[in-house]
Amino acid sequence: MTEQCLLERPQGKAAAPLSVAYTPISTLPDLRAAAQLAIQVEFTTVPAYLTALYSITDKGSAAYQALRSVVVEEMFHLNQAANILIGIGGQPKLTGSVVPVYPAYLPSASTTATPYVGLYRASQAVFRNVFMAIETPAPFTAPPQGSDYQTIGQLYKALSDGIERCVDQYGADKVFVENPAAEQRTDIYLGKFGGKAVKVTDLDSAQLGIQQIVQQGEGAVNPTHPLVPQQPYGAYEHYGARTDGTYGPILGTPYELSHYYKFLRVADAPDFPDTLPIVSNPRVSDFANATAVQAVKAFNIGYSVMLQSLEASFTKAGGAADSYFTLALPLMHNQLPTLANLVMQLPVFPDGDPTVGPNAAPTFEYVEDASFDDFLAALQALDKLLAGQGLPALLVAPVAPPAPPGPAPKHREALHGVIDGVRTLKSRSDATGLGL
Amino acid sequence: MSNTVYSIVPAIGIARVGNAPTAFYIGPETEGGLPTLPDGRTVGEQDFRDDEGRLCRQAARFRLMRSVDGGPPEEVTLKSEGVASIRWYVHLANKKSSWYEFQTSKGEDGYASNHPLRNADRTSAEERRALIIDAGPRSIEGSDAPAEHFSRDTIPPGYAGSFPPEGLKPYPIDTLGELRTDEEGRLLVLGGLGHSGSDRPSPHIGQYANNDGWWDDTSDGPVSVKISLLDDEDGPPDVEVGGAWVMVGPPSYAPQIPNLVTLYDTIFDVVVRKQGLRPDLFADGMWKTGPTGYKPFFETDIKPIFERVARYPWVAAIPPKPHSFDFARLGDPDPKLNGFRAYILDIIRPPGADNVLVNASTGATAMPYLAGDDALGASKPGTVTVATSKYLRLTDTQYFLLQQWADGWFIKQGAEPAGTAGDPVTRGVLANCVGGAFSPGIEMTWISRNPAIYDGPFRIKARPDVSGPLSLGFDPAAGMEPGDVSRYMAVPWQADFNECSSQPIEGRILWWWPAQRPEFVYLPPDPQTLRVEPSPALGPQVSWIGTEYNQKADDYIQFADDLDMVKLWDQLGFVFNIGSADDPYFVEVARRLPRTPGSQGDTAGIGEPARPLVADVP
Repeated sequence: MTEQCLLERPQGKAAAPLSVAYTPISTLPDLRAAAQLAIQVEFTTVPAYLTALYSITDKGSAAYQALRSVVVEEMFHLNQAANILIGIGGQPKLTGSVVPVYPAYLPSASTTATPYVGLYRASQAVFRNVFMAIETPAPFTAPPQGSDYQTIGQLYKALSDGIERCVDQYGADKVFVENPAAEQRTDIYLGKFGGKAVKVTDLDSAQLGIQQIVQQGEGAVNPTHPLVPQQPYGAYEHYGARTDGTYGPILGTPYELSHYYKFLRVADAPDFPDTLPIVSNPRVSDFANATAVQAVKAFNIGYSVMLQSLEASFTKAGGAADSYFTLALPLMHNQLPTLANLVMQLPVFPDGDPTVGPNAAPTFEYVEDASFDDFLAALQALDKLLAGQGLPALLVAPVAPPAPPGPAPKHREALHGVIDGVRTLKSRSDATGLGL
Repeated sequence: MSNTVYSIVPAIGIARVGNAPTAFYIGPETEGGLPTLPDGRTVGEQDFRDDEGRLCRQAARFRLMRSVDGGPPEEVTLKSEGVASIRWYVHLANKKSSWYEFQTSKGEDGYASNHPLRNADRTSAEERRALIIDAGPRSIEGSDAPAEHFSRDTIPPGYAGSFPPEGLKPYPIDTLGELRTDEEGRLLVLGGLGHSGSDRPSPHIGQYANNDGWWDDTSDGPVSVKISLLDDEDGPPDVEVGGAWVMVGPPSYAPQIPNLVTLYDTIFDVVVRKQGLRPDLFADGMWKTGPTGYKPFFETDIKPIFERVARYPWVAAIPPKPHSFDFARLGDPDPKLNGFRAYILDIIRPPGADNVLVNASTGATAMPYLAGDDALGASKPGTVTVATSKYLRLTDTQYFLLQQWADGWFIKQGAEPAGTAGDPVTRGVLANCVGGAFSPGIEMTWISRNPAIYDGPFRIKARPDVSGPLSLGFDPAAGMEPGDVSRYMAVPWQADFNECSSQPIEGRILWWWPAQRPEFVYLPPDPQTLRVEPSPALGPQVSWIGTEYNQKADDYIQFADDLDMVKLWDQLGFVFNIGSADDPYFVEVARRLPRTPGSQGDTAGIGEPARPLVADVP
């Protein structure tokens, strides 16, 4: 039996040869590039998952909850990959050219073996042909592959091998030299799923970090091999579908955890929840509804500020307020989902029917030099347009002018805004509140 | 002439059953505190049982306080100057079997005419009074006084007391407890022996809360005191003081792990919303919100809520990570963190969302992930739509305090000044009791939310001059009689205590009171590895009772038969912190019951015949 037989190829692509030219990583710059690539791969999956996620109307449905748990774990992987990069002397980059543009293949992935990733309205076909394909487990014996990889697990194998090789070659004290300007994060909380990010200071912690990522989703894990049962966070005791057929605490059962199997359950389920009639792979240039254009614009500015603040949260704060908890987290958990839900209920055409569609969708485009003030201004402009259509405003109270920037590092200056006032967006975002 | 005000603290004391005939410890008087031994030491893991391995009772201790001319209260004991004697009066009774059946929230606003009675086959007033366990009043004075028993054969002459038939199976009920005093004449109330029994030839428990023919030996009743002064230069020689109550409940198996909603929170909510005694929080039907409103103290009002949350993973199979907090960040009022605090508040189930498990607009699971008052109603097909509260939520007052906190209107340092916070001992005692869900609960049920039963903050209004026989009705205007507070609870308590482990609701399994009735516990580490590393790896969590593999199994984290709880409750283990306050490590100690074969913790007995699940009947 060949190894390919172990792989399901649900997206119907021809099986590619498992091993193409593989050059082991042997220099520190290459190693950092590989870690940055891992960050970008994780990053690229998130907007794709989020678009499908927000398009599902029943937030309590199994499909929504499964996808939500995967998104949160991808963000955890991003956090962990960033820690690895910082641990080996790099500085994670999440803005500018790093921001994925859709539709696209995963960065440096094999275009024959991996799916074409886009911003799609959720459906069982999307779960099966795109999401399951992203999360296809690597066979236990799959070779490492630093680029042109067929599964994400191979990419991590290459990173893992590279770290070992560099430690052999240069010594651990040369490899694990933390970037003095950067700061690893172990205190970021993303949701009830995810895991506990480890601080990477040596070979063992680096391998543990990679192992956590790989076991959760993009696994090169023997499926009969249980997850480390003593793992205090993440693996042990979270909630999910159990092997006794009920929902409840997972006491060390490995199957539930794999993203691939989570998606398989959704794809194989007899029914699928209702979705909003959004366009897939949206482009602003296709939108004729000025409100939708402004809402997407506001979303993209907020998205860009969030990315800036997330990137900045991996730098030493130097006394400034922690941009993760002051900006990135409220944006990720409140303002951006609120806006995304609004956008998806705004028809592309001015006179369109939002229950029929086609509706707009966030484009996840990066806006250079976006600031929090820009975000506020965009929301205020959006509120005017909403008011013109008799829809309730997003900002519930007049937002105080932002405080003047304090003595913060230069790259934080754009992030000085206080989120107060904007944070109550959500209560007005329920579908009923929008008059839809 | 000075104005001296006497009071008894705590306003409500909590005793707990145990089957050790003499050994006891005194209940904790601080939130999450350990009980203390009569000699003043804090209990260790070996002190939960007596020399013969029997479970010790928890005594409720009452003190007499005196405040002169509005000054700070000070304790009055037999050693205080000018005190001739202190005589305590207590009257315990158990009215469970004579009351209505418990059906989740039904009855909180009065019973319907078709609401069934327990033991409905006994119809005459005489027959129904015979269902009450009432040993009559007792009093005690002096230091280290010999025990005054509330027993069948010590009913005061002329008092119309009553006890169930002798020889109940599996355990007879011949006493509700006893009174003692300590060296300085403080009152110690000890409850029953944990005996529950039925008058039927072959006892059987068919239901979690209502079992005809059954009695248990929990109880409740008023506490009052008469102090005699040596000379009466300042007023009458004798002063009588009432206003205190004692409740006897099941053991506290995880004394250091408080419930998320404590009985203090629930009754404080009555004080705020119904009694109007905290106009700084709530007045004229309006909450004092916003920057000019009430500012909670982070250390005493907010932090404890999250500290309780952080301890639940030690007694339930829940993910530890989302239940761990960075308290420095939570306690930082910087407006830049308003979004972060709002994110936390957003996860907490708000008032009015008692039936919401998953937030419809965010998809996030609302916390707490615990069953609510009406979870049972919700679990039955056809009644889901009428469920009043499937899931537990914080009290309105707790939620109000968190709202102010989330908006940044809170005080970072310090504690509420004395005087406004009420009596700290009452707060400490009630903080170790269950304040929800009430189905029916552990110590007190939803009657605790009824303002009619109080005549002051935390002060249950006692009916004066109870001469017996006790009444069969409910007349809070006249005052509460002995047994009127506990009669709503399950009979026998062990049935509810056993079954209220996990609760299936709409495809999910929720927990009831893990902090009071552990679901999953950690075992003590191998002594070889204990503390050799900075933080030893935890072993797997194991079910406290029963098995943990199949959530649909009859013995999933409980006994398959409630009768086993009646027989084996005294052999269960206690959850005890062998780590430190800052780095806790809670493990199960003092367990005598072998683990259920097939459960994860059953490492010894695989392949061996299980020890018969039979306790010695005395």
